[in-house]
Amino acid sequence: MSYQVKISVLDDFALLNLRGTKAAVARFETALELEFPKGAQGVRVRDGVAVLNLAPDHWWVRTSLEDEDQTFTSLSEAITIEHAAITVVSDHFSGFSIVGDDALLVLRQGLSLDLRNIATGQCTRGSFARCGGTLQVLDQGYHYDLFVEASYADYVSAWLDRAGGGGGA
Amino acid sequence: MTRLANGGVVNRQRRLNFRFNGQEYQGLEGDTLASALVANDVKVVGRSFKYHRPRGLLTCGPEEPNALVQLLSDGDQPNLRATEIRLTEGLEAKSVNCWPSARFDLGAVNDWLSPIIPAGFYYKTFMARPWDFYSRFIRKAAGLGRLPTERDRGRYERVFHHTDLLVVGAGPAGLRAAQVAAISGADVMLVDMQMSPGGHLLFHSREIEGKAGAEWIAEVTAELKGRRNVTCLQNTTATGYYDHNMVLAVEHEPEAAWLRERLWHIRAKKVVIATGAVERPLVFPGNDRPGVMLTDAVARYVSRFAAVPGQRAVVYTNNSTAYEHLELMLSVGISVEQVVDLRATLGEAERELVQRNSIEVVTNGRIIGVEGRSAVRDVRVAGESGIRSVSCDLVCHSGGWNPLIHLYSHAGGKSVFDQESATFIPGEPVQAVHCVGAANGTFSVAGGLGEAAGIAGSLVEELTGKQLGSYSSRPEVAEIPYGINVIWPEKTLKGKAFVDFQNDVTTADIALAVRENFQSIEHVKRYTTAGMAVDQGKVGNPNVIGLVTKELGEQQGSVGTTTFRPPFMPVSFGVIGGSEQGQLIIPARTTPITRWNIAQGAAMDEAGANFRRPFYFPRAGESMDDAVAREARAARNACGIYDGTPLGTFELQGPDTAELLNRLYTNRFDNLLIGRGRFGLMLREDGRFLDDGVTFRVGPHHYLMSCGTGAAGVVYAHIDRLLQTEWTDLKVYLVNVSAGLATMCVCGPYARDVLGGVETDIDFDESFRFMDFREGRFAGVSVRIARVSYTGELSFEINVARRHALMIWTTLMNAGQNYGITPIGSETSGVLRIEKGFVSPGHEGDNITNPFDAGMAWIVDMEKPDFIGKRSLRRDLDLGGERQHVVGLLPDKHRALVADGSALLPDPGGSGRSGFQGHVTAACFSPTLERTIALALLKDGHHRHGEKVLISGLEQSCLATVTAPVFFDPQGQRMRG
Repeated sequence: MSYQVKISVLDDFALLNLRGTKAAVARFETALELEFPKGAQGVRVRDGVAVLNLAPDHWWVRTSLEDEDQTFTSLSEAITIEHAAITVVSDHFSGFSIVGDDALLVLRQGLSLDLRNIATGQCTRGSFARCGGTLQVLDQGYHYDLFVEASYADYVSAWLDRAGGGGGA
Repeated sequence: MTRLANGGVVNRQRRLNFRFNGQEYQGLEGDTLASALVANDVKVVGRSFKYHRPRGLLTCGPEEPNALVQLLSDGDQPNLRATEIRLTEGLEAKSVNCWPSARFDLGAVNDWLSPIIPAGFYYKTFMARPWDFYSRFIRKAAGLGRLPTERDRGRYERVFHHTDLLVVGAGPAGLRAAQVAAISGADVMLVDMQMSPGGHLLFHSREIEGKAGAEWIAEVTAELKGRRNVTCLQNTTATGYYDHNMVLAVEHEPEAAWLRERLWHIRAKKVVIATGAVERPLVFPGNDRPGVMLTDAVARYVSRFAAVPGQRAVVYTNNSTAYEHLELMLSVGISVEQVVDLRATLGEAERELVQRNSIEVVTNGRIIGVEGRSAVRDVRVAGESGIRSVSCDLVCHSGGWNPLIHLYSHAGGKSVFDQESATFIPGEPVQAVHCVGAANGTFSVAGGLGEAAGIAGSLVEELTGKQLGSYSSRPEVAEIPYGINVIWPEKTLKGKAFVDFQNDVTTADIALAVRENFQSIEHVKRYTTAGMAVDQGKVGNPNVIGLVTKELGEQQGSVGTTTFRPPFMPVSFGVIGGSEQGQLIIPARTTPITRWNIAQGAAMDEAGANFRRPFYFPRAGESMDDAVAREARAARNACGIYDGTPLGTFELQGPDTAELLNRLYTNRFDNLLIGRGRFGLMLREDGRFLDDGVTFRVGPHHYLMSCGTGAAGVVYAHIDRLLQTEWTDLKVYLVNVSAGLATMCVCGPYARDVLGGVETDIDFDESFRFMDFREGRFAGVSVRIARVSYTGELSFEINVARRHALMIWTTLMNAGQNYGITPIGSETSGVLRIEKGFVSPGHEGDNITNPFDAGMAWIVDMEKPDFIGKRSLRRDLDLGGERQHVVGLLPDKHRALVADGSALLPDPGGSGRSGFQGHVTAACFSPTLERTIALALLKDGHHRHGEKVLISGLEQSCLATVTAPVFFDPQGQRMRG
């Protein structure tokens, strides 16, 4: 009595919020040895580090918790006089992995965006189940990672369980 | 039983037991409740709304106005149409609006009283007192069905769906539109409210392109289901069309077996409405008697369900459609006693058909009466040769067709009257809506198919750029051409002739309304109730409009139509809520300490921004007042601790941050030193409170701003908007880190001792001044600790990453054991705030109060070049005049109960002032002062300290002395020391 989907909590991720000018981005790219996605909703991945384009001057770096400090340090040291902001927001967000043939049936219950247009290797932000959410598409129609503000984590966890056909809260 | 041995789509191998109005019956799998009742010869299915007349089934579909039932077996669901309920084993239902039973209803006395209760009688009758007396009876009589008292155990779901083309209706036109569109590769969604696709083809024997109707349906359906770009949903009702092509559809019994219903929010680039049409009744005396049924309905019951509603039929019509069903009726043993046709002559095909089957036709004929109360016995027919009674048990009538244009109307479309088909059809296209087939007034199947293909083809060409043309031709279909001659109903009819069955509106009611000078169709609707409520005029509206037009002496179509409003069909509350029920009804937010708080037995309360915080922590046997007093005393005399995580926290980075803060806050921030914090007041453009909070300078260009829980979202959006649109020259980046940083506040005389008891490299000595912050290791993790106070006590606020929060909290609780550390709730915080007279924007800021009124001139730097709200404050100062000021109140009765919001009136024995003086903004019993205290907004309050005012209460009033608003430690020595 449920959809074909596995929902789990992401417990090993770090997120760094980057804001910056073009000059700053060039330095970020050098520090991470990774070209940043310039197009809207783009994602670039290398050696377990993903950079998500959230807005024209706004990115997330997603890495492992273990590499959080080192990544922060590298990025901070890369900036000299450029106008930029690097903020560790790992604790501000909770992550969920939604995997399975019916992943879309679960997501579409809470996300009003047209998911046909968000392909594998892209990301998007929107209102998810009445909370703000960021979605990373790892395999369109099958595997999605969802990040919500941590204060909503308990609610979203119960919401996803319910949407998946479980009992919820 | 009147079930045929063969035919229909019912499964004769599976019998289903069900109960209706207390009686046991059997039906078949595939039946609806209505068809099962027909098959069991049940004539009376309910009572009418106003006159409680016995009513039978009029239709076979969602437009059914009479057979409203309470479903008892699957939850307790009121006012469902029997025609829409799929029969299941053990189903139990009963008629609504009758007592003690549908067969014998005491409410039928209204039928005898009808001369004194015509349309709008209540507007004329119940104008005088005693209204209470009338209302008791009216409330008892009002409404249909009974609200369920048990919780709905059904599960529901809402889902968002995007598609290129949405086709509503899977009749021939809808199927063809979907078929053509699907070829292009565009995403197509086809929704249909019936259990099977096909629409009228399911019971009209027609050949399309040389194929039997059923075969054509099967082929097209299979083709559509085989395409990945097509989503087909049966048993799904499109209930409303909203802005930007948002269509809501309710799917009943989805394939996900645990669901009762699913609500689809469908956003389509283009929408094709192929909802078909419903048959219009003819209006004649007794047209509501059980056994009087639309011809289309008879054909459906026979064809789909093999259920025969009568044995001897009189067919009454004004159009050609009824003739198409005559041979079907004869084939199943229904004797067609007579066809009464309002028209003077028949078409060639009709004439051939009746001659071939030896059916008597009365042209220029009318039915002028129906005999029989609970079942038809005979009808009186007036023809050119006089009046004659015809014995029958079934009257089939057809007044033409009403296109189902409800969705078009929801979308904002205005229908127009088509003289040829004598009905309202869609006018100019609106939004992205295109109506095809019978919904567009194209009543021939061939015409509908051609129209659908043409429209769908052009739409997908527009969407995809692909050329499609092969389906645009008009296919070959054998059918009788549609011809109609409408004679609109007249007021001179004797006996009750109904134009709106569900709302019991007769021709006499409409005539009365027009006589009383209601000329707008919208006014007539409201005066008579015709076309209102759940029915929304599906079958009755054209007759109502026709009669009004006739009574006004206008040309048909000139008075316009009423507006159809969503939902097309009633929608359950359950499916509106979807899965977000119970604990999920609010997206509740938690902190890392929430579970600990709940485990300690905290009474939780809403705290703004969807957070629930501890209100207070009651111990065994304690009342709320006891608990709050204990917690407040602990904070003042020992040590309190509370979870401040819900407060908003934002990082601001960039070289222009100080300038930004200077513009946002009323006071200066450009001289704030690194390592220091400053309280700031943020105003709106009108000079009224937006929020307040402390901002710390973390680095040369790096600040941390805190703000109120409830205001956090607004403040963030405010700053973000300013940076993106108004002050784009400022180099500042704003990041919300509220949920990532947990905030714990330790306050009270022993706060320093408690923190000093934890392993740390931070000194909590006297050098750690008020408004300082320090960073370091604390209990093994990195923290930022600030000396700020919202309680008026020595207080430290600890910021730590969320992942470490619970560990730090429990460490503090352990460290504070010997100092009486006590968790305190938001109610206690409120008491401590009132004692200190701290102004709260959410309490003392009432959208009128400015900082000067609140006694906060000390924080407003009018010498600064500018800040948001400065201009408005200057205007307030220039304007002068009497304003309300924040004051303290000390009631004469030390334990007076004073409610927030209580009005302040002049002392009856005093000042000479009169009228309303202000109101209490916050009041409490202060455990520290052992008396009631209050903060208030009072006219000219700053100059009235020492005066008496009357606090007006609902139950008792009391005098109070006006004071300064700070009741405790006015010099702030405890907080700063």
